Amino acid sequence: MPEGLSRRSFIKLAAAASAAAAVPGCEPAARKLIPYVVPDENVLPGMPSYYASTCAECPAGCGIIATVREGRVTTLAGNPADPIGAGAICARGQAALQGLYNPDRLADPMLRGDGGKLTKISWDAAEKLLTDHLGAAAKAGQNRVAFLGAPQGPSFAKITRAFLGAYGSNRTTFYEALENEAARNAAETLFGRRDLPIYKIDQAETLISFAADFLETGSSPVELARQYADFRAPKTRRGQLTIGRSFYVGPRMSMSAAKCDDWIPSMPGAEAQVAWSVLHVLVAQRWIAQNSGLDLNALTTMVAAYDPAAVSQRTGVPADKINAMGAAFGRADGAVAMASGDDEALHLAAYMLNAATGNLGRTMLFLDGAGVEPVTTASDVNAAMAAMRDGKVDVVVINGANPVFTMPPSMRAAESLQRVGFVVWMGTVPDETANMASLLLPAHHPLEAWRDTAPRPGVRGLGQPVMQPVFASRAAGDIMLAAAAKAPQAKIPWQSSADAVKAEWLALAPQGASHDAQTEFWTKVRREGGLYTEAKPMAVKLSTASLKTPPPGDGTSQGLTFVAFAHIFLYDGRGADKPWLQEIPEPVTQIVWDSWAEIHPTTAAKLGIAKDELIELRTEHGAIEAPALISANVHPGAIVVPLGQGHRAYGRYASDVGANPWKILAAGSLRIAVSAKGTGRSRRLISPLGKSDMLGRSIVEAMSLDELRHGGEPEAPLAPEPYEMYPPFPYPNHKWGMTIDVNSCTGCSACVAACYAENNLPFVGKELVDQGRIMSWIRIERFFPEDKDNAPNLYLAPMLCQQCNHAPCEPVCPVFASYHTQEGLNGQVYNRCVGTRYCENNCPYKVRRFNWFVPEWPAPLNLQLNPDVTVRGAGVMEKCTFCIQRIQHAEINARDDDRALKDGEIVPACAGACPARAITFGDMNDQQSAMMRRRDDNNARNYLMLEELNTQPAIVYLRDLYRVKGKA
Amino acid sequence: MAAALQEPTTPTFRDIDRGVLRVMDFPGMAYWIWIAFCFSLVAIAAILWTRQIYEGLGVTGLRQPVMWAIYITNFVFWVGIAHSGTLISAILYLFRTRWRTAVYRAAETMTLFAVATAGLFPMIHLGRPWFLYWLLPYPNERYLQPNFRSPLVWDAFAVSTYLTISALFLFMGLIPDVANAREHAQGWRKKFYSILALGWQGTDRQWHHFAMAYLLMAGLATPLVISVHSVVSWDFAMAQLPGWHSTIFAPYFVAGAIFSGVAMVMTLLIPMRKWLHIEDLVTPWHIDSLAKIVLLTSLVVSYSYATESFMVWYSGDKIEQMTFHMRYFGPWGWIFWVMILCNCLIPLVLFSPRIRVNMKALWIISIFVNIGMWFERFDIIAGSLTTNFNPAQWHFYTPSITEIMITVGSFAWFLGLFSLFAKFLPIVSMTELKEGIGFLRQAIRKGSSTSA
Amino acid sequence: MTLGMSAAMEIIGSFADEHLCVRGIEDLHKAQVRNLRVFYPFPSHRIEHAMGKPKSKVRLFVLIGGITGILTALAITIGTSWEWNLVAGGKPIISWPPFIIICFELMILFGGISAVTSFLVNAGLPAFESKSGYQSRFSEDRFGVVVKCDGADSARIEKIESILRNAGAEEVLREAA
Repeated sequence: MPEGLSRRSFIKLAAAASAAAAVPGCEPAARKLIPYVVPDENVLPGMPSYYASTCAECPAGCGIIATVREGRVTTLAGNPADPIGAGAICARGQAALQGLYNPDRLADPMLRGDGGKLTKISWDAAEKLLTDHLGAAAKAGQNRVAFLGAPQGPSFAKITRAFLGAYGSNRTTFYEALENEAARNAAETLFGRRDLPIYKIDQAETLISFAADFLETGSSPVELARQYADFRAPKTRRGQLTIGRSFYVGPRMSMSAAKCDDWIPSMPGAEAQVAWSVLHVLVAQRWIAQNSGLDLNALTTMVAAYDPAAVSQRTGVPADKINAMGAAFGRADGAVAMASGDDEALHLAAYMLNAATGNLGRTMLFLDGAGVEPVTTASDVNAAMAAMRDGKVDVVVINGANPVFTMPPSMRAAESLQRVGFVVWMGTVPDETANMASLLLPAHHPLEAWRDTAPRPGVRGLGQPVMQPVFASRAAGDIMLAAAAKAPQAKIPWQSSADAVKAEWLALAPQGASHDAQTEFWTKVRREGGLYTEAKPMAVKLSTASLKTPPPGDGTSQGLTFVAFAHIFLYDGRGADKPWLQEIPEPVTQIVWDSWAEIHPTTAAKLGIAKDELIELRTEHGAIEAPALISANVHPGAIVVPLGQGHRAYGRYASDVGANPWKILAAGSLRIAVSAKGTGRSRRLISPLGKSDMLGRSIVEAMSLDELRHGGEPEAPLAPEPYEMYPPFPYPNHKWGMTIDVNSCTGCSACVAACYAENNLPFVGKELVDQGRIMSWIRIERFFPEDKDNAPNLYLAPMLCQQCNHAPCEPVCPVFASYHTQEGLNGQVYNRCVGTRYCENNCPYKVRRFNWFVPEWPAPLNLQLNPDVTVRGAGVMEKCTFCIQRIQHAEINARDDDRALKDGEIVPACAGACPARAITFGDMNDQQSAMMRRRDDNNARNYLMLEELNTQPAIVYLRDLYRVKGKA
Repeated sequence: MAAALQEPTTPTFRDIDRGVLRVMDFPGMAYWIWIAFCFSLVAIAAILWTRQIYEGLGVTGLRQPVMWAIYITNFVFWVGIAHSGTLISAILYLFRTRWRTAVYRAAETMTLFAVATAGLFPMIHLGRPWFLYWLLPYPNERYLQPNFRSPLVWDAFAVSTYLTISALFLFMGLIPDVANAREHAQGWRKKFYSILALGWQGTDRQWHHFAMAYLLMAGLATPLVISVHSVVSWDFAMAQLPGWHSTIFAPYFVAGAIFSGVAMVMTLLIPMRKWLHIEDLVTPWHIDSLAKIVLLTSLVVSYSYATESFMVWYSGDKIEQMTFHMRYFGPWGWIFWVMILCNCLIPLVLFSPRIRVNMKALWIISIFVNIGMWFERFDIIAGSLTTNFNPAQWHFYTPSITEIMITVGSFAWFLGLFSLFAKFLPIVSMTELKEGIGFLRQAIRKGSSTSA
Repeated sequence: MTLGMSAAMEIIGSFADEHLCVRGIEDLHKAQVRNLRVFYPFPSHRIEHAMGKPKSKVRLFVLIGGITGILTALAITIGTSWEWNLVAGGKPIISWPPFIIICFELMILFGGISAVTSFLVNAGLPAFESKSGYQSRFSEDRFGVVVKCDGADSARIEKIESILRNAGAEEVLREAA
């Protein structure tokens, strides 16, 4: 599998795959069996081909490698050549597969007749309708056609403009629901540019996140998770063994907060004041860098009003915490502050902190070169909607965005669309917006279409189709170009979006290159999935002119504040149609298939709200209901609800699940004053997790930094020699094992998604999860600490089969379905299993899964199934075997080229996906393997889960690291 | 007491024959309604099982981490019931216990059908029951064989052996009686009994070998009965799950088995002797002796509970202690205390001789014991699985209608088969009553004097 | 026993009581009358003793059966472990402790089966025609002593009948065999 290979050998693989065809994938439609009578040159039965492309699931734009079997893409992995993802991929990225194969995708063009009934029409009819309406609109005058959609890369932007141009309009609106406009404004104020800075956490010693969930849904989660793991890895700095110092200031203990040393609860909106106060500490202590070009006196007067004591007064955030943050930030050799939200003051403060400590261009930098395709500003979006309402638009073409769902009521999306004569919706799964459209056109999924991305200067991602379309859909770009071609006096430079993308990229080829050189370049970028060049940090001059007295930031009201946050999997709602993302438990709450309203026990008591009781949350904009999740991981002044649920359309998996917070939010903000009351009715929140209390058992272990410095906790020494009753079994060639660094693991669950995709794990739905029939082979085990001060904020670690050497599951199986392989795995022979379930009873880790029913994948989701892994029937026990199919694949390859297996040649799905690189797989017989070296290098942190049982797991965990609260 | 009694002369051999054979007269309407009722419940269970096979075990309430619950509980319960039969017929035979003669046939019959019922449950609980035969070694082209390290394979051998031996033992004992019945029966019954009797006529030669074979069978069945329930207990003791992994399980389960089994014998005999009018064959004296065994085994079981808990406390094993804390005081604590009430406290009233011959009281007590022992097995199995090593996987189990109805069906199945036997084959051994007729005569006097 | 083929006959003495029956048998033995057949309705140790038979061969068969069981078990367990030699739970291929259990169970099984079969064979069961001299009440409440003798030897017949009567037989019949 490529994500584990060296870059060279990966390119070899990719070359073999995408050598010739411009459009890869097999000739016949992917839903049909492939007739091998006339074999397709690109399809070797049983052999995967790999295609590089780019992920379109969030704006980060990671590069991906698609594994294609017999013309069907089965798994997605990170592209090692891409500097952003660097070979890793998040859960959302992998779930793109379920968007591609979603059973509720629009299969044919649909026309909405009178009474809103949809009727199927042919593509020709559809195109004619479209061009007619467009023509009519163009005749009626200028700018009577509009495009409303998500930013989908430079080529797409060009196509859109050309299309609108052909019909005499320039109403392009690239709308991103979670667009961080405040950050752009702040950047403009301070640095005079609107693009977002790049962060280099790994260059820092101290990190302060002001409500920025950089590990879940920030600007680039995979990249930042990787950096954060490095930041938190034990290093010797200034002669002392230490780990990065991190703080999180915000109303809710998010996953990012949980992984920080300190989570400092704050009133929603109070973060800005805290941030300014930290700056105050820096100024007071003269911790201002010379090169920052800031005048100390100016600064002093600037932050005068934010002395910690005063801020503590106003916000309730303890002054000593603020001072601690200031000290850690100011003393650090490299520090970074990050912010999120709609509070411009907060972003200003965060930028100022970085700038003042001379970290601008070091931990936070603006890159030189072409900025990204700018997203339409909020005001322009509002203008566009207003134009529709005022009847200035006859035809609106919508693609990639779901404004009816994601726009707060004040933006009146639905009303605006109603006023448009002809609404054309192009997309995959019909959503709330599609329900308003007169013409619905099935568009390609990003994995079926040509596209490109420019996530940041120096990184250009090329998205090539990885397979033939699943449905009779067309690329959105092609639809628009076809329509444009029909326009009078239209001169469109490209035939198709493929042409457009190619033209765009040939322009990137070395200047004055010959035709061959260009072709060579074109092949190269398709192999590598993009063009990656070093972009130099740009020297930006800080203009504090506008900052005589900084805005205090809002939201210090003492009332109850409603806070919505982007769900790690569902994001702004686009993930909700993908069963994997619904079923993988949200790492911190462990809740599946629902929305929840997280509320502090004291607040709940005050409002008389019981566990799981539906809370009515009412604001000036409306009301929603969500079940109460009573937890201490939220500020008493806040009630927190995740975004993404509450769809009323968008397919069978999304519709009628949970509540949609956008409904009660004001435009451009994720928090608002709210009145909450219990409804008396309740809906149980479903989680596969049992107790949250580890009861002091050695499942997820952690050690304090001091203990690490003293080389391991004295009372818990390293593994004693296991007691052997029988002569140990010699493993002649390999003994597979894993090393998992709990300290690096963020809980992001990319491994879980990877396992679902690679091993054909069925999703079971809310009821069956409740009945204890969830099928995940790997899960994130989450526990709350008993002693909050002397433990990490949250115990999080991946739990999977430990492949015990003395496996309790093996001897109890009456038929040898569970047995020990020659390479030290706990094999499970599915078609030998009779289903006594004794193995699971005897498994201390409870990592085996039983098939209670015959698993089902509504077509075409079944096309995603990995042909290397059997689909298990009812009555069979199943489990993780370190992706034995990948082990076999690599061993066979090695045998074919008559060589020894190379270390790192085999990478199980979970290890390959992990953004934090927490999981290393290798051969325990090879002391030099990366996996074994990782154990040795972190000797003091080694531990085995439930070691006292002498099951001798093949997985060695590295203890989580934490700082004793109140210690530097 | 034998001294106190002058040699009585009744009942005579003929009285015994009449008493027993009268039972086998052609049954009346009530009987057939009862049989129909039993087997319609069995039919319901069968339908639900078919559905379970068709749809998968998802129709049960089983879940992570409680992979075993009611089905295995029933298995252990019924195997346990079976044990008293062999105890009474084999072990007491070796001890030449006199009072067994009247009750052992019923007990043996119960054994056979209880094992037959128990044997269904491993099948019912399997994920893929159609592959049950994979648990047995047999030559096959794939060279696949069972894993003899697995207690489930021991089970397969132990239970099937037990079924065979108890069937043979019962059949042997029947031969002289059906020969006798043959002489009185007419029509198809005569043929039926003649075939069963194998032409037995009670010659000296036949009796000579019969006696030896019967003695040896008893000798073989005695260690077997101990081994079978030990093996059953090892299904749990061999696992390392807290609450299961304990060395006292074998004796503890055997005692429990005899306890529940003898209680079940009482549950069946007390109404039976009334309805079948065999009070003067199965006398209060007999029942009194059974009650004494129940009392004794109840004390053994109580002692086992105490030892188990003590060991947990003494071991200092935090995880084990947590499991037991949950067993006593967790959400399922009530099950444990019901069990203590039924198995340890209620049987104590059997210290009173008057209770021991009060049929109504005895019957109610025996019912309580059955309930208590069922709960004991359930608590050990499902309870321990719930509170396993990994708290993140602690979940409680609730049975589904399928499991409940199949359990009910198993009781119906057992009672139905037993009722059929009782009506068509001699449910009391005439030959052995005759052999020990002197004691029977005394018993009747004693019984009438005490129960009066 | 050799009887005159011409007119072999049987003398059937039936007793109402076990003790009398035993006395009859003993008296006959005293009188050197040995070829008896006795019917009785329940296993009577007194009669057994009086008849003075050698120990039943069933014991030997059971012993052989039991040993065969153990050997079979060893063959199955060890054999299959070799044939399908998979490691499980870090235990050796031949993990003998559990094999003992199988040995035990099969010993019981084979022993038990051979006990029943050898009983049937030795007792000449199943028998398809009635033994001569059998009366149905011998299965109920009477004890029958049947003596075969030469019909010609009337003196001997008289003697036997008188012995039976004196022993307390409630009736004595003659039957042509």
